[in-house]
Amino acid sequence: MSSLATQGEMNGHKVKSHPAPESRVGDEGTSKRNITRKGGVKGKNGGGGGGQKGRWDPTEDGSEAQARDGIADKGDPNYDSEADEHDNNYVLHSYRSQRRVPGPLHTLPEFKRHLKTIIEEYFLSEDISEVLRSVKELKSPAYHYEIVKRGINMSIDAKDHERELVSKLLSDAYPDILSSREVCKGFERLFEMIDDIQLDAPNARTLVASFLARAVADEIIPPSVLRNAAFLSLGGEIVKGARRLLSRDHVLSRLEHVWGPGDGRPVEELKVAIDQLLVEYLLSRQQDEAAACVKELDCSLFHHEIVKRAVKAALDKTDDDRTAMSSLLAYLNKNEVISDEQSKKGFDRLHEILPDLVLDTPAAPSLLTKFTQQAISDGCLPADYKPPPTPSPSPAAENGKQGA
Amino acid sequence: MHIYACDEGAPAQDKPLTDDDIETNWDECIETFDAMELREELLRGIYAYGFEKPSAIQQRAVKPILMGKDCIAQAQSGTGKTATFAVSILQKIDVAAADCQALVLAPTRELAQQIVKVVRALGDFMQLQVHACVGGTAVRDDIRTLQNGVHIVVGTPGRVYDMISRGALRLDRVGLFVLDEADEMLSRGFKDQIYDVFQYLPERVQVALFSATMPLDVLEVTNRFMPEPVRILVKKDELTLEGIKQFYIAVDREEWKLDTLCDLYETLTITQAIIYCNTRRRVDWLSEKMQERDFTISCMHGDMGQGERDVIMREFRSGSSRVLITTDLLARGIDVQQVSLVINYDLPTNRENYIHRIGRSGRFGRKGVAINFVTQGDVRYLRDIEEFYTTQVEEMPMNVADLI
Repeated sequence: MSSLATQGEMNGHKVKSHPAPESRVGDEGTSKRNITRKGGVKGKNGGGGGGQKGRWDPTEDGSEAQARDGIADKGDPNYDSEADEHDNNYVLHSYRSQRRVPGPLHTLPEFKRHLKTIIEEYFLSEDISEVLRSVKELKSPAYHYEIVKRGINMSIDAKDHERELVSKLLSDAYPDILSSREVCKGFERLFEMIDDIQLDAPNARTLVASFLARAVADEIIPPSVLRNAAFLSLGGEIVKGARRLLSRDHVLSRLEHVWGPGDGRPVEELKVAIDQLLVEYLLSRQQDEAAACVKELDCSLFHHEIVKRAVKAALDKTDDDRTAMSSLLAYLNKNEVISDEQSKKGFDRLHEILPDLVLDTPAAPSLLTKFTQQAISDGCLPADYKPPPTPSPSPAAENGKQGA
Repeated sequence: MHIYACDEGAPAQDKPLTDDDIETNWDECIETFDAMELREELLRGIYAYGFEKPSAIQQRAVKPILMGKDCIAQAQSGTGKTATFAVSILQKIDVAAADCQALVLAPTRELAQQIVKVVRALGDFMQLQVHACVGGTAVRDDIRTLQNGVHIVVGTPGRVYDMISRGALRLDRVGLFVLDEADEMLSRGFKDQIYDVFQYLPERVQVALFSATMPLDVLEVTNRFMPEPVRILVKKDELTLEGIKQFYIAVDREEWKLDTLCDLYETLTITQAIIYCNTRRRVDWLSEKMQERDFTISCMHGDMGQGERDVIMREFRSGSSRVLITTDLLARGIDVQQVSLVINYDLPTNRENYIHRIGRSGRFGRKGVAINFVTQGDVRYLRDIEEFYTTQVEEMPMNVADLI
């Protein structure tokens, strides 16, 4: 079976280097990559794409690439054989020079079952190299497009964090495990079943459009795909949705974060997101919107940071802002967004950093006491809440001076 | 578990609900399954499944549902809410009649399938037909199954409504209608579909609604369809790292982890220990290496069924095996709270996994020790974890054995 894998790699390499054989894939500039990718997707015409006829620039001579690329789909039950000659020639050649290649090692249902476990584990381990290795070991490259289909489909049931993981996986699987045309094929299969998926997940179309736009931004499929008539006829609204996403300003950095602040980003970036929602709240005073933003962060055990930053941000604002902030905390607590434990932890931390707060806001102790009392009467804190002892002010004050 | 104090015994509420009204108004607890007056075969199923004592929500909610009252249960996942309505449904169902008598709506396909698993397991000794209405199967098969007669249908609102409008699912014999994770269903955009399904239910259908939070759109549903509900609020204890001593051992290179673990082995066996790796492959590799070196360990394999995992777990719980190697996925759903030593052979890249591995929920209040193997590349993840949970992970002292 290893011969098939090798052959697949060889194909990939061949196709990639077709227009510029001497260049290495990893180091290629954007323009070159686009050219090579055209070659890669071009194979689709000759092979497995299904209804992809005439989608790529016909002036480029890709007949060889076409033929070789087509072979990768030989074992695919969806493979719509057009029995072209190149294809057959190539098979004969490969049979002569290597061991017999009986097709994918697994049947499609087997492959899907393995893939499901692999992705389930990936959602917890976040170990991309393990996924790629496990998929390679299945030795069924003809089904690799299933990674796109199943990964996205599974993430639709999950949260933004898992969606980000799938986007990352697709990006890292390119080009070794997934060629552009396989990514496209995966999306096409999704398009075909989107009505069905949507019954179980009303926002499925929007999510798939985001995946598609992100795939373009990550340069794993060329933007031109979104203009391709066959792709459009299958994808319809989804493809148009992806085009809309891609036509915005500063599109690349925005699509990098297409899954929002709940995508599992590091603590430092979460803090930035928290500050943003707090500042926005002070301006808009919309508690429900702020609550929605907090939920979007999807980090219930980090909510102590929201409490801490909310109070801290309001300390040197007006009385009005402070009242608003108190009522936001009360609202979040009452609606079970921020738990009692997290409220308490937040206030504990505020008392611990009080010496530091005093440096910037001399009135901090009395303001914090007020906040604490308000929180107790709002039910965010237990009636018998006792703040932890405030550390002696000298070391923090000295640190502060050194810092200043 | 903390149960919110109830201020009144009467289940009836005349005034309309506001978001203040999520207090408990039902406080009767039944502390054993035996005392619930369940049918013999259901009781057998419950014990065979491994339940010994009803959880807080089960103690409170099963009775009123069996009495035929509409019931709002505010409970998060992990509190045993699925079994709460599963038990109630199974008790109420008449297996001799081939009609759909209970309908459960869930926000995702994955959850719907989990629910079906639980219902099937608990109803193992009953002649029961349960059907998961989720995508992926051919619609024709779905329709045929439904037309052959099923007692219980579980599905997402969109899918269930689709089956109704195709005439495949008749709801006129449904006695109990369950909405699981109502807040999540509404936030996923299922509002219309839920209301649509309601139209097809008999006038006097009993409703049980489960929701982790009670935002206004959920209250709207309860107002509209549940005239005199019993309300039960069960708070889940948050996982905490308090009382857990957390250490790290710097292993400059990945290869040194194994030797480090072997050096620790004596210490491990003083008590019981769980060793976490990030992937199944790592588990297999590590257990082989440990066995090669004649250390006694048990481990969970990826290809083990749930039954085998339970056996391994029972052995471990009974103390006949002392060291268990596993992954987050394999250990999922296993209660490992009594284990006082956890080794993160691989530091989790996912912050939530960290607290799931080593955290304790408040009610146990046990102390424990966690040891993290940290390579150069892991340092930033460890920092992230420390900050996320505002906790300290210190370098492991020589006398760690004294702490266990």
